[in-house]
Order: sequence, then C-alpha cells, then structure tokens
Amino acid sequence: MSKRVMSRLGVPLLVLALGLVAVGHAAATWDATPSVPVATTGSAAAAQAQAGHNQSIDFMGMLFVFMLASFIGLGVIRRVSRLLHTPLMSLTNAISAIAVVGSILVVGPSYPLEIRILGAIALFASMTNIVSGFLITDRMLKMFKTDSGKQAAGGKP
Amino acid sequence: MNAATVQLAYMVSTALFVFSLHWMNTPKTARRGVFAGVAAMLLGAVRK
Repeated sequence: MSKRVMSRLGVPLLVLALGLVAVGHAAATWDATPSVPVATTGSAAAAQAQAGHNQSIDFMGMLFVFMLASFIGLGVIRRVSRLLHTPLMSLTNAISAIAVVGSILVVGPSYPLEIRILGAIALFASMTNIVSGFLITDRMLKMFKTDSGKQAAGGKP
Repeated sequence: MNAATVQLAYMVSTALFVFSLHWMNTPKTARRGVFAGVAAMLLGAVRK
C-alpha cells in the first residue's frame, strides 16, 4: 500500500523538485538583473542588463511551457487501455522522429560538405523511422481488429 | 512561404500530434490516431 502510494507520487514529486530547482535558478538570475544600473544610456552595462532581463523572462516563459506540457502529457497518457500499450509506444516512437525537420535544415546548401553528408544520413535514418513506424502501428491495429474484434470493441480493462 | 504560415503549420502539427496520442487511448479511435499522426507528420515535414 505504502509502496504503491510512493510509486504513484514519485513522478510528480520529481517534476516538482526539478521545477523548484529551476525556479531557484530563475530567481537568482532575476535578482541579479536589476542591481545593474540602467541609468547610463547607451553603455554596454545597460545592454547587458536588458539582455539578462529578456533572457530571464524567456526562461520563465519556457518554464511555464514546460509545466503546461507536463500536465498535458500526464493527462494524455493516463488511463490508456491495456490493450493499446504497444501501439501507443510504437506511435510515440514514430512521431518522435519529427526531428527529421532538423536534418532537413542541416542538409541545406549553406553548410560544408561533411555536415551535409551527415545530415543526409540522419535524414535517411529518420525517414525510415517515420515511414516504418506508422506502417507498423497501422498493421498492429489491423491485427487487433481481425484477431480480437470483440475485445477491442467491447471492453476497456 | 512566409514565416507566419510556417509557424502556424507547426502549431497545427503539434496539436495533431497531441490529439494523435490522445486518440490512441481507446481502441475505438486508435486508427484515427494513426491517421492524425501521419497528417501531422506530413504537415510538419513537407513544407515548402
């Protein structure tokens, strides 16, 4: 019982601890920023203070996005049907290959040749991951429908 | 294509990814989840 409660509380506590560490870091950055005198116009100190302020705001925005995204992920993944764990993992693997956008950007003409060759290899690997991942997930679901259609239609365990 | 359209396509693609994982939860809408993932991948990767 206690072990079960602990395992249920483990992930939110980890996320909370990570968030507290990040907030502490942001607060340190935030407090360090206004102590720089901003009155000197056009100097490097003002520009640096402005840059630090913008970076701190950007970090807080990123932290908010991270919090909301973790709640969305928790709400999406919770209460998965027990039948569908394997297709869910396969689909997650397939859509994690959206990093193909990065390799498409890297094979652009403004990079040296070695980097473009490596980007072409990355493009090939992630295209294989995308296409075969979606095909295999679809095939898995087709097998579920023909093999145990009654179970797939009826029960949520 | 201009930058705003590309960002809008990225946003729609992200929403379709989230809905793809969400539709994967129940067996009744699992095929729809796969097709939403394919559509989101096409929208995110094949832009010009």
